[in-house]
Amino acid sequence: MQSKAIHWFFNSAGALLLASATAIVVGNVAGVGWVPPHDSLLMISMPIVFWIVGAIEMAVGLVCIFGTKDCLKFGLILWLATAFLAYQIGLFWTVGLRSFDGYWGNVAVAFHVPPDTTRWILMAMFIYLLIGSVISLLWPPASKFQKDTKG
Amino acid sequence: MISPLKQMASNRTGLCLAAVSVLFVVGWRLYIIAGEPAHWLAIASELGSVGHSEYSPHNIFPSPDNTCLLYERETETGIGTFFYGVASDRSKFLFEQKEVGYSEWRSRVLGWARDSSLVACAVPANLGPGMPSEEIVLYNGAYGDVVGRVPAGEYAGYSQFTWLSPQSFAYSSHRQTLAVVKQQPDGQWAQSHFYEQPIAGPKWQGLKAYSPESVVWQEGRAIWKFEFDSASSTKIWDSPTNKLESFACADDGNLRLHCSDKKGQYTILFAPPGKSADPKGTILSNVRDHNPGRRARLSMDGGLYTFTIERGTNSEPTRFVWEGMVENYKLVGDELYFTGNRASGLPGIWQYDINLKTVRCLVPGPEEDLKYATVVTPSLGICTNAREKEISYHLWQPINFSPGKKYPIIIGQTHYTWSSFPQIAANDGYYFATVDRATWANDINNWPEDVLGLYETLVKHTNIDTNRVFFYTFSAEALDTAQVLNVKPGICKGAILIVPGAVPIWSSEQLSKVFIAGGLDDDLIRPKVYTNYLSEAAKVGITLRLILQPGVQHLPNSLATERQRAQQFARFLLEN
Repeated sequence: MQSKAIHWFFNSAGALLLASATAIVVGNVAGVGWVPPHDSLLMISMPIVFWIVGAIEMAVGLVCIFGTKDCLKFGLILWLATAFLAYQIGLFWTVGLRSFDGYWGNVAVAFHVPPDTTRWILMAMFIYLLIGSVISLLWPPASKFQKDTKG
Repeated sequence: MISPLKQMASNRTGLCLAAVSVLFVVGWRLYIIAGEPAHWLAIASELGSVGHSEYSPHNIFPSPDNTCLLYERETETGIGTFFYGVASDRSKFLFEQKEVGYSEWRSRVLGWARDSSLVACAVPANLGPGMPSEEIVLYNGAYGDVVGRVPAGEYAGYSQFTWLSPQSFAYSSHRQTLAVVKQQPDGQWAQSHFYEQPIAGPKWQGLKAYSPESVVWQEGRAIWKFEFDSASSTKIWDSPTNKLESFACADDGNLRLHCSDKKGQYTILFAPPGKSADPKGTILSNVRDHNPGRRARLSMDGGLYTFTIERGTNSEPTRFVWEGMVENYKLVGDELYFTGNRASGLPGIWQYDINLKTVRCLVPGPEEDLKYATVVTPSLGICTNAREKEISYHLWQPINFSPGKKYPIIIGQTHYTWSSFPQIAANDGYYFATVDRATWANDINNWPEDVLGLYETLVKHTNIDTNRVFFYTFSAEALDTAQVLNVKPGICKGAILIVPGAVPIWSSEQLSKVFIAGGLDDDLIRPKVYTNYLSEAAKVGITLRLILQPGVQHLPNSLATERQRAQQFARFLLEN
């Protein structure tokens, strides 16, 4: 039962990450021709941020769907979710809550979704990934995984 | 042991979920694209290719005998000058100045010879940017063929030019030196004299031929004469009390001086020394004159352009109302030439016969090039601005208008001349409304109150989506947009700022979408201003759509620039 839940989590995480990566790539392509802003945290052009985030999400999503090692999946999801949320907190800390609209507006515009909604969809996704990966680690299968790695 | 490939294939649930999620996202995007108006890019391209940007000069230079004219029009890569023969009804390309490195003075129509046999133009011999290398090219007045080329190394931005006779002309340098060019017996044109010492002070203006061997000009309240033989300048008229506005040389050698004092304007007919027996010259007549000669004036009455043409006689001025837009106009003899368009058409060149009171199109706009775009005729309205002053406005209604539907609107206050932006907006399902300005400078300071007044008038319209109101500004019009938002915060979803003179920082509660088009070679608004604004706007949550075009200055000077701007504007409209 727990194993099924873990598998379901991996599958759903993979699907969400692939969907998110696709949306980010589509947003990036749709934004070609406009002069993009520079990310206020990393100081690089937003399309580059998008390409990096999209590529990472796609890679992690594919690992979640097709990967064989659960430990790798846990680790990657946890790392990605933590990094994204930390990035969002950093962005919020630097320029405020509404900064998302200014920097990530391409994705919202490409799908005709209000930036607020886009922000909350992405935040909800990464919170789900964070909580899911933490819970999975703490559950018995995770203990099994720890034993496997020791043995 | 299960191979990794088999394990991958065994996770059918994961595969299905991944496929469904990716297809969902792609499908969503395709759904958005499918919902976009058909041929929106082609429409924007067609309308953007009309050229005749609202603020580009597009001068016209009719010949004195009204048989032909030179006109400027945007080409794909710059501003072209064309010859048009009235009899042949054909246009001929003469020369082009490229947009990259464009300088208004480098290619210029200098003037027609008085007998219309020749027209002189300054043309950059070195077509690229950098050190100027000019030549004066002479074109045949009948067919527009080149009949002479004269290197004009001294020609510069402040140069003045005048024909001395059909066989000679003079031009000055920026140091007030003078070059005289004459046609040689073998038919070639060559510089005959060059006066290295400045012949005038730096504030001279209105260089005119007095005779084939002398020129006159104005310096302050005085008129000076320079004779080629003696190479000396002499003051021939000075008035310490009254202001000399302008002057003209009459055919009989007298000077017609247009002056003004506290009582108003008057005209002095003056016989200069040499013409008069008196060594100081003689005043032949002094007439209080509110009608200083032949001239045409353009005004806007109730939202319609009206020409008032005075012919220097005691007859009543002729009034000509044009139901459309006007960019530029010239009066020559009994013909009025102007560039502009009928309200339902594209810009062309028109001729109004003052005696017959008929108007005809000489050079039509590119109507036949429009395959997808619809030219929308604006409706005229009258309302009051925020200070209760009556103003006129024009409203472009979306094509395929449906009475039960709400449409977004773009509001501005701008010079009422052709622009592709209202047409693109109407073709893409937007209303576009502008308070009329008869000229660029006219009432530009009333921008906030005029736009507020128009907004209050239009929001009562049941078909206007008040949640999707956008401001439109060009250049200096952007300076006062923040005033409107301070008075009425939250009325506006976004702004469309074309080469804005200012980029005020708004909060995203006031507006969330901004479109800015600018040029990377703009000397007035440096690109750094826009990129800084881009960062600031992003921080407050404004989605800023910025287009910075390489090689483009403050005003667009090619069809390619206009078209790209039009396409990006259309994209912005679709996104919102």
